[in-house]
Amino acid sequence: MSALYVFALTSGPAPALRHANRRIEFVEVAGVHAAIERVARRPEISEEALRSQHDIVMKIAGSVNAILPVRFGAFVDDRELDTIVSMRLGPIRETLEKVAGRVQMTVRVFASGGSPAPRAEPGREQGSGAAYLEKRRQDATGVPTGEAAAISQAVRTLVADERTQRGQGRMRWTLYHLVDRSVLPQYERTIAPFVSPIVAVSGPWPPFAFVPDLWS
Amino acid sequence: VTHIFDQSDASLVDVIDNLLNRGVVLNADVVLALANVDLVYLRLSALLCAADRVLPRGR
Repeated sequence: MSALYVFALTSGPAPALRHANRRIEFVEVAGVHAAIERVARRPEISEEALRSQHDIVMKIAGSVNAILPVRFGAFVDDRELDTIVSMRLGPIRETLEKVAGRVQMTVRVFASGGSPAPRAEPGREQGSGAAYLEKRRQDATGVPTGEAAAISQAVRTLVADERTQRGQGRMRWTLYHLVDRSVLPQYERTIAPFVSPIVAVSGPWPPFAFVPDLWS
Repeated sequence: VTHIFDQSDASLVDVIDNLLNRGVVLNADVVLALANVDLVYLRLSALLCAADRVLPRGR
């Protein structure tokens, strides 16, 4: 057994890459590939560690056609990685095909000054498990409103997929768009007029928001 | 392809959202706690692996 830190699952291998003094290599796992580093222990969470991992994932994304970034802290042994990937190989392969040649753009829509997001109904903030699950359902299925809806409509024909997340506090909505690399310039031109003090656009990123849920 | 990602400048919000809220969850460690005392430590990946061995084929 060998201890691995996993950065991403990819459709194919790429040459090993270096980042600072770290060596990232690609290993085959159940028919797909994983970009890993052989390490002795899990990294401590810190801004530096997060930024370093983000930079590494960006480098990996630049060297493969399809990537599923892995969340921070994926410290596993090789047998465990093989078991997890083997058990969810179908959704992993489907998603790799879906994100191939595509990038994620992130759009954050904030409330205009002085108008915080509506508060939860009195008495429901702490809530029961059912209330929590209902909120999760609403977050997952919420339909954007206002400026977020206008943006969603404007780029509708340019995105392969869209995920939406209702925000908290001043953050009203986050829209995640999966965009073909070939139409990225057109997407950027279309969305540029919306950028303002209450609309922030970032990317392109690897498709962090379009990965499969391996635990359901 | 590389140059597409070279253009991106990640804010801390992007880094945190991408790496802590998004991305494939390969392992998930859960501590069940009561009154601030850790009771049970579950490694979900280990649990999943164990379930795979216990459940009959085809389920």
